[in-house]
Amino acid sequence: MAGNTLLEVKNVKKYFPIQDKKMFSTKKQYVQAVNDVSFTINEGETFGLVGESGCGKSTLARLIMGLIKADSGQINFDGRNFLELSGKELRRSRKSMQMVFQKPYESLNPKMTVAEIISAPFEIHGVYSKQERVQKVKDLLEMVGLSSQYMNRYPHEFSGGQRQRIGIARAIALHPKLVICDEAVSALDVSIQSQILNLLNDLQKEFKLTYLFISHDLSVVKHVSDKIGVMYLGEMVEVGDAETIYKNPKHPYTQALLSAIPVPDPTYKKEQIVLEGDLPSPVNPPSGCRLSSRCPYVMPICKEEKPGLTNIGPDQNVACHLFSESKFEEHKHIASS
Amino acid sequence: MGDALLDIKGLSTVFKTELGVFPAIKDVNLSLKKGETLCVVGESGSGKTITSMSLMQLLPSSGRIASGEIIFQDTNLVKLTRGEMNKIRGKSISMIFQDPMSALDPVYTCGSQITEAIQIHEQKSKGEAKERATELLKQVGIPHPETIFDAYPHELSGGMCQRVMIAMALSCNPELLIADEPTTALDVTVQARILDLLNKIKKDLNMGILLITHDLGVVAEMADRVAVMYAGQIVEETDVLTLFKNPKHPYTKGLIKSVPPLHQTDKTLYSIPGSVPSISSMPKGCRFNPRCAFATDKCVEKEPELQEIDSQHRVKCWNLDEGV
Repeated sequence: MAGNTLLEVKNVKKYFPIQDKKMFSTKKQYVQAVNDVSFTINEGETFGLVGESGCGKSTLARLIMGLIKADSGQINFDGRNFLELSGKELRRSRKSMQMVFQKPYESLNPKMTVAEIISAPFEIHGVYSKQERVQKVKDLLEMVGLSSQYMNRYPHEFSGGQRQRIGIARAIALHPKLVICDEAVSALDVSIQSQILNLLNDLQKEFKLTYLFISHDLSVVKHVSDKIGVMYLGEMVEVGDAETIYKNPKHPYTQALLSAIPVPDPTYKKEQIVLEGDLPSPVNPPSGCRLSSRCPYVMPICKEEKPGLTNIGPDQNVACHLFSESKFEEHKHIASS
Repeated sequence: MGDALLDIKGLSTVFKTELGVFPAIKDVNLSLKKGETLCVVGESGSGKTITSMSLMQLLPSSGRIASGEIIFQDTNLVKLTRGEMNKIRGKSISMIFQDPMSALDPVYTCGSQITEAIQIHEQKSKGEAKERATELLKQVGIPHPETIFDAYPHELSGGMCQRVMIAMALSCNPELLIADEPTTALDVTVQARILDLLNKIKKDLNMGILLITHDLGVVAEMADRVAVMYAGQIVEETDVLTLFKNPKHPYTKGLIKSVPPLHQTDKTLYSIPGSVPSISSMPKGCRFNPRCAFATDKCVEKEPELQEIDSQHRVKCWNLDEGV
């Protein structure tokens, strides 16, 4: 699957300012939503982004789309740095980058017909004549498994799964290179969810799409992804080949996350790694490694120094002091225990 | 396993809509023993929540129980007056709701919401109730119960709110706990801890739990017995091991196969075609027939009975003999 790099996210940072509780206070506080995140996605690949709510997945997606501006860092898409583009150029470039949203009930305008919804991207970017657009809409509907007779209906006449298909048709209308699926199947029932996952898979094959697939459902991410990135409190803690990470997670957070998935097999005996306490606030994250307040393997260095992403094997990078070189002995110890 | 705690017999609940009166659940039979967890699984619109709401007599004004009995410890809940039901609800039967953030009242502190439940059902002074509430908060694994007692729900995380909900549900030592998608709104690591907590409490108090969920992973972890619902009816009921090892109904099989497997790599998932029919346009015959790969003429004409294939396994399907 290895192709050219399509998207490169480099040291991207986004802090949201928040109001101090005290009146007239000049002290500014920030929610550190995304902190120094880097990863790349190759053409034709599916990159799965996982993490619990509040870890910055959706903020990252919005940063990549250019819906909000990053504080610092680089987002290179197709060879251009998105952060340096002007509004007009950005809009033009966004043509090759589309998004499928989480809630099929809220992401479609209830006052527009299906045809209007799907042809909206054509209108915005001024492509195709009127007759061509109608034909395109019909083709797109068939492509996502809906009858072209539905084109003059309104969103409320469809079920959740069908609406999500409409959302997908809209996203692929302009033949984008990258489709960002932000929790695209989370609101759907299992039987419908599998239909949509299969559809996404078929479309990827047909149009050589690249997906950034964001989800909190780890088994879904595992199923669709070639590569995955695990986020915790705004930082990437483990990135690499999906298969490798699922089989052999290294970061304590990834281990905890994977061991918490309920397995649909009553005979399966799982060994659960429990993280103590709750997610710390992103306004005052722990110093050093952000997991240090909850990590079962915490060492003194974890509270002082932030670990960087270290390569520990073919296609597996971990941000953890257990795997920095000086700590190799502990690493062996953990691996054997 | 002790005696029967709950016995639902032939329960049907109907809803009045603009288009007429339609049954939301039809002829539901369930039973639950002490210390047992019964999971009700199904997709949205399958009637899981309506079943639990009928049980609690908390149906919206457009719905009512049309027929059937709900026997809870020798009392038929359907026949009770509102006042009598109020005495049972929250005391012997309590409930945990899906979204902990919105199920708690935002204008009262967590502590006062728990003590309210205690003071309604038990003759206790304010001080005693507070003591009991703090003890409960500790029992559900909240680190600083005294601080949380005075906290408002918005100050807590989702997992914490759910623990407060559980504490509230446990306040009067219920015999039956109904948990309606208790972990759906929570993250996996939090979910794992809440499920552990429920299991521990069940053992400690020897309660029966009626757990409603759509997540088969949760079912595998929690259930002793499972009832699968589709379009307002129970289509299969058995113990948890048999359900995963030897499912009989085509819908159950499809549901199990639709879950992306964690330990396999197959790019195309099995999927059940179509979607759940709406309450106003139920198909004739077996309600699953338009989506079933094995449907025959008989399935379209006549509705199958929920038949017993062995003492622990009941299935509602015509085509069992053909080895579907």
